[in-house]
Amino acid sequence: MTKVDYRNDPRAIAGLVSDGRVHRDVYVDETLFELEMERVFARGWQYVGHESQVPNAGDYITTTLAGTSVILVRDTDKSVRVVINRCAHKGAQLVFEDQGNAGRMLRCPYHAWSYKFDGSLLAVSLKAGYENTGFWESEAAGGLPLPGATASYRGFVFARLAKEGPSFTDYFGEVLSALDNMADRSPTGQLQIGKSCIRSVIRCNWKMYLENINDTVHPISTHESAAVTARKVGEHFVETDPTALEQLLPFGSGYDFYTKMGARTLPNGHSILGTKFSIHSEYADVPGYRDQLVAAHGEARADEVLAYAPQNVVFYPGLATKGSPQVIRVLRPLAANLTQLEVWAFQPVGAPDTMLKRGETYSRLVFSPMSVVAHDDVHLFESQQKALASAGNPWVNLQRQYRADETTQPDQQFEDGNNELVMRNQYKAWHDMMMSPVTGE
Amino acid sequence: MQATDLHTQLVDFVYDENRLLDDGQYQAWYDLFADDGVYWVPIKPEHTDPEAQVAIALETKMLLALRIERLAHPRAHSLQPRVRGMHVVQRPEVLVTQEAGTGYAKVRTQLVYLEHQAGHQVVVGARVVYTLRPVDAGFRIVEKRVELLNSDAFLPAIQLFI
Repeated sequence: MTKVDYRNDPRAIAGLVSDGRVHRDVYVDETLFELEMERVFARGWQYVGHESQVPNAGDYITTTLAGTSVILVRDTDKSVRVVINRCAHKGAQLVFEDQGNAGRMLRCPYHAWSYKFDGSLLAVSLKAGYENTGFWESEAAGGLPLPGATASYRGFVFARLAKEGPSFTDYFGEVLSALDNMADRSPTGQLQIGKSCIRSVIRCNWKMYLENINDTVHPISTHESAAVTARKVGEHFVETDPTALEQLLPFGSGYDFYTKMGARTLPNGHSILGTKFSIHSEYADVPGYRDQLVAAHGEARADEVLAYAPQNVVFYPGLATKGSPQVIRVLRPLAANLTQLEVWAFQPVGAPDTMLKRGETYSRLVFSPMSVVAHDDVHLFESQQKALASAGNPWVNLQRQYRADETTQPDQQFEDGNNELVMRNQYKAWHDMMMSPVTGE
Repeated sequence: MQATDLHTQLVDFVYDENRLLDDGQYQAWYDLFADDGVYWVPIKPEHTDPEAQVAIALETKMLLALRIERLAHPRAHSLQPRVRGMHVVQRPEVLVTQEAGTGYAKVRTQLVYLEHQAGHQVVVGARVVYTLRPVDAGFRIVEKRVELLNSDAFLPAIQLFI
């Protein structure tokens, strides 16, 4: 039960995050979760889907942004649109599949109202019945609700649900270079998303998962059993599955490995962990691949693209990418203690097929609900969730290498990936967005 | 070998295989797999090529050995407290006793799999298709394919073998 009125008392929120510590209410309180959906997720930019999922006019996918079902659809003029999956008439969903083709319009199965792909109302049944009713001035006549803004960058489609908020480029800024790196891993500069994703649900707060994406200190202890057995089994099966071994063995890397990897924190909670190298840097060269990139982008850019393999890039609050092995993770929070995760791999168009296989192997080995790596993470997140909802020390500690003046520099580069600034930076953004009520709230 | 005997042996094989898992006899279960055998949980039931798309699980003997070895590791945190699994198996259906060309048998069953840890129980339904190679002592698994009813759902952690 909430004892503090977080919705109406900004000072109460201010005290939850400070100087490298985070109060447990941030992870367990349902009112704060509602406010996060409104002030962080709806007002920030969320990943919707990839343009390669909707190659032809009428192709669509559906997903859920901060609890709102949306449709990403390819319009007849080849542009991509994002509309809210709610009939303007009485709220029924227009489409129900994860993906499909809507034909030439979106048509509600309930009373056959139809819409153009930009959301505008095309036709209502029994139109004459609306004459002199004031209907054409109603909300319904405005068509499908739309997000406040939509943007596509190198094929990645994002939406901001709120009407007011930062522009796409202001919000993401320099972190977008990570999407350039991913796309430029294709000789044509284009990515094709895998046909399916891996989905899991975790009984923890979304921020525990997001913090862990930037946590270099956990693998050696959390994933010890997976890394040790991978090494042991690898000795008996030397030639069997080199891709699996090169992906699993680095989970045994120690603290020292991460001290010089380089990290960068950016405004609005974004970050790049591993600006110089990461556990993904030593994957075997794919024969002929570098030559393709050199021919397409020139030697300098090709080598720059291939050498840049951060451990994780966070597009706060709900997306994390790995340029190599070309995998993205999308967080869809459901409740304070429940988080959905989607993991997608990409094929750089024109590159050897091995590239997609590498990403899909990584997704399966490391992020699947049956992954022995993910099992240890998830088990610990779920235990944190239980502990923070119960009695005891109410604070989570994120003080490693904390400096009192660090938050005054929003774009910072530093050597040591073990510095928890990569997590504190997420809470700087959280604090700023949560302290600012949505207009008209 | 009489055709009816073969049929019975195939049905018994599936029951025995599931019992080994529920009894935690993982080494004996592992030995049922052919050297080129795979354990496969496709992301969509209609998938036919394990390599063509991402999978929930796709394990060669190396990866099966890794998973089984880890079960005994003292710091496999996620397995504490103990995880228990149960397969409630429908009578297996022999699809073919000897496939033309390969000589493989195919057997299918539907099952409910329960997995329990610390008061939390996960329940999934699956159709499981076995591709079996006849050997002197019986059969070896070339492929165990687990088609989850809810393979496209957001799944909780499933820690043992379905």
